[in-house]
Amino acid sequence: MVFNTGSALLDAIVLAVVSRDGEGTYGYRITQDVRQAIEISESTLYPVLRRLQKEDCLETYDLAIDGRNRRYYRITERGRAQLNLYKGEWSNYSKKISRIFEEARV
Amino acid sequence: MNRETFMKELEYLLQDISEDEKADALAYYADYLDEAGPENEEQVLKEFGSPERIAAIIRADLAGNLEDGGGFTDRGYEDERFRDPNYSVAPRMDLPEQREDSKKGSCSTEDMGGESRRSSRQPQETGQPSQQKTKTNGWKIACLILLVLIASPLWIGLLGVGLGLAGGGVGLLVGLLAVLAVLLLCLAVWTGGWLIGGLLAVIVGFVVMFTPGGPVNGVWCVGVGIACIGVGLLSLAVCGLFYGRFLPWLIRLCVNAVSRLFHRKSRREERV
Repeated sequence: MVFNTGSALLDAIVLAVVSRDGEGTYGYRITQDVRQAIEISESTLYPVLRRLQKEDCLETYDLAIDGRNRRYYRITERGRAQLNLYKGEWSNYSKKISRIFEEARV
Repeated sequence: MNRETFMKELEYLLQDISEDEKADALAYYADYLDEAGPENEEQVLKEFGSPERIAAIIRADLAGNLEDGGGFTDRGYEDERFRDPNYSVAPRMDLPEQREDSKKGSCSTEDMGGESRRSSRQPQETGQPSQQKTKTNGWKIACLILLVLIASPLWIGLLGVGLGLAGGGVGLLVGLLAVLAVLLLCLAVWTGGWLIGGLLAVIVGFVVMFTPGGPVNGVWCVGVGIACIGVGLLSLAVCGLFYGRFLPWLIRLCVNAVSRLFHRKSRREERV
């Protein structure tokens, strides 16, 4: 991809990925899912998840799996509202951009 | 670097942040490595980069300045501040190939307009400096030769010898001239002295002859005076030879030498 992804778009993608699992999902899987859409390095998501958690868009809970704790992330009501806002914005934005490109003469 | 040393170093690097934040971050990365599984561990750690880099990312987020730096590109999150400290060697602009590379890199990723601008500007850029280079090269070589000539110790020695010889020559010439001048003066004074002395003695002799004191003394005095005049006349003859023959000959010699020098020069010029 030649276009930059702003931090707002990354937030939106992460919220969307987390929202797909009602039970919640964990860091490694979130990273792999986000990577299907945009290329990010293994290490980048921690600050984003941490911030979203602090902004009450995500909540965490620990679950014992194979004798160790796995941290799960789950979307909150506030996160859902935020995601909804992002989705609307994106739909608007991408439609405009797509129209411009369709009208372009190449 | 294996997982254990990585986690240990990360923990060490996060000593100064709050216990809660540190535990959270360490748990996340440990958890991540667990989920990735031992088979992916090496690859994940490689992508993490170094513990320093991860620590920088965590710290920047805590300071709340993650938003206003960097962005997520197709090559992942890019932020100058999160460059691995171990690899953040400042680009060396003094190396020409490096500069070319970095220029190319920034242009191709950032603006496509810059590419064409650059290419149109290229002939100018490449044409001028090469010409200047040869010019400056010529100057440099000339300066270098001059420097070598001036600074060479051999040259200084030769210069010293030359100066010495010239000084010696000048000294010899001055000495000769001085001798000549002294001779000139002395001969005249000597001749004049004998003649005047003799004349005076003859006069005194005649005066003494007619005094009642003694005509013998007067005659003796006149005799001495005449002898003196004789010597003076002899000297006058020598003077005549010296002033009349030797000096003109010497002067002619000098004039001839100088005129020959000029003459030869002019003749050579004529031939050319």
